[in-house]
Amino acid sequence: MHRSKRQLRNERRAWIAALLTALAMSLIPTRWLVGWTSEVAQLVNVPMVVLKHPVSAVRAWLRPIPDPREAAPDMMRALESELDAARTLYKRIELENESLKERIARLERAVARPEAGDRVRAIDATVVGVTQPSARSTGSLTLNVGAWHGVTPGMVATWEGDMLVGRVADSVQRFTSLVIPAVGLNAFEVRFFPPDRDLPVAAAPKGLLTPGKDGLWTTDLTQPGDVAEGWIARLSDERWPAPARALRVGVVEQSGPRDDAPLMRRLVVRPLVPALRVPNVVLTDETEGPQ
Amino acid sequence: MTWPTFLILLVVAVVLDSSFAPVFAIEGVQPDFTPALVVFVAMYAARPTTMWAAFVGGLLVDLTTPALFEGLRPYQLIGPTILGYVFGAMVVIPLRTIVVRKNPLAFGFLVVLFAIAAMLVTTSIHSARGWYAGTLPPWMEEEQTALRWMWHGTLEAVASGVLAILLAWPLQRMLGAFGFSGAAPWSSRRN
Repeated sequence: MHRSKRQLRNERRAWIAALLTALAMSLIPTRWLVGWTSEVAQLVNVPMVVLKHPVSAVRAWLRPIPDPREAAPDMMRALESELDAARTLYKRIELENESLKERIARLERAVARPEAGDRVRAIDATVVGVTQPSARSTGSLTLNVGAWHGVTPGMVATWEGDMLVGRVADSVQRFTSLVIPAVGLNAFEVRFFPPDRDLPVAAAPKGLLTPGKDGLWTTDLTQPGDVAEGWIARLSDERWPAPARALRVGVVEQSGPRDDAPLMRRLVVRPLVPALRVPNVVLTDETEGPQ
Repeated sequence: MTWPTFLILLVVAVVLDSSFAPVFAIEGVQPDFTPALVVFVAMYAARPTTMWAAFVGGLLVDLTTPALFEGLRPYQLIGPTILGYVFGAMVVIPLRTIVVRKNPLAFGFLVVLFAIAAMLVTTSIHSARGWYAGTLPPWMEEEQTALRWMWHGTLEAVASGVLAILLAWPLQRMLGAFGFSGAAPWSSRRN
């Protein structure tokens, strides 16, 4: 088949474009490939599964997984298998027991804080999904508890008893709920305390933490009192439920006078706990009556 | 070249690589069927056809090789094997005129060269990607050095060459089904 020069030129251009695309795809950062490339691959992989099943069966027949008890009598093999299953069951119960003890300890830490008051409702939850921050949101945590477990919008999520993680979003599902990290919430009031000495609450400087860039907060202090790097910010906002008061929120990372208003101090506060990396949280709020 | 024949055999080769090739594994070294098919095309087809066949072969291998980001988020890195196979084909094409094409040993030798060339390209791309934050080259994920990784790749290339010697006869029997024309319009030399 004879092809014209123009056809050849077009084919050559298509080839160069394909190669450049492959090169670009090879070098783009991994996080840009997550998600959509798997879906594209499914188009190829799904039809192949039909072939892979019989081929895998032939492979397993030709080269089976070695059985260490192959030489033992049938009775011995059955007994050993039963013993292994019983051991696994026992270890599973031990692990469940350990996990329950940890959950009880977490709940007790959350409820036992003197600031929390007597009427505190606490729900232990495991983080089952994380939505990473994007241009449109600050990310969120998906929990394995929802309205059926008593979760209500606005509950406060804590980590290790007294560290603020965030608040439950308005849309609580029946069996799941979303927690918005504290850095994604509207500005809230805190008071600053030194880490190495006791400071009365009345003397602790007050600030309004406003979410800034890179998951940090900023606040401007006008009242006297020198807040240094390393001071701890504790929640003091009256709009939040009582169990959330005095929770540790963040640590002062930078402290210095503002360039445009030298009498004011600009503080940069970093969250104490990276909210999107906690494996579990305790949700708390106030109850009407004693729990 | 008859593309449907090539594509059907390519799918079969990729399926065999992922599901059957472990039968031949010795000490973690297993041969691949796909390089043998691409080199077979490279020995007989026109240069542009060979290049596109290598491209499509690499694409299918990349699409069927999942990786994990941050331990649990699957993704497919599309590109390294494409470029590796294209480079491998570029290595094979000049050599096909100086070997006896029907000789299984020559076929096996070219498959070894092809697989080593492809491995060099993929290793280079993974090394470059290692500069990105949060992206480790595959040998670091397996706590190996790049040299050890390349040595393992070379052994797999040799294993693929040995397998190719066995595949030479059935592939030669299918020569008619491929319908190679032999024209090479991109090349100044008609290979």
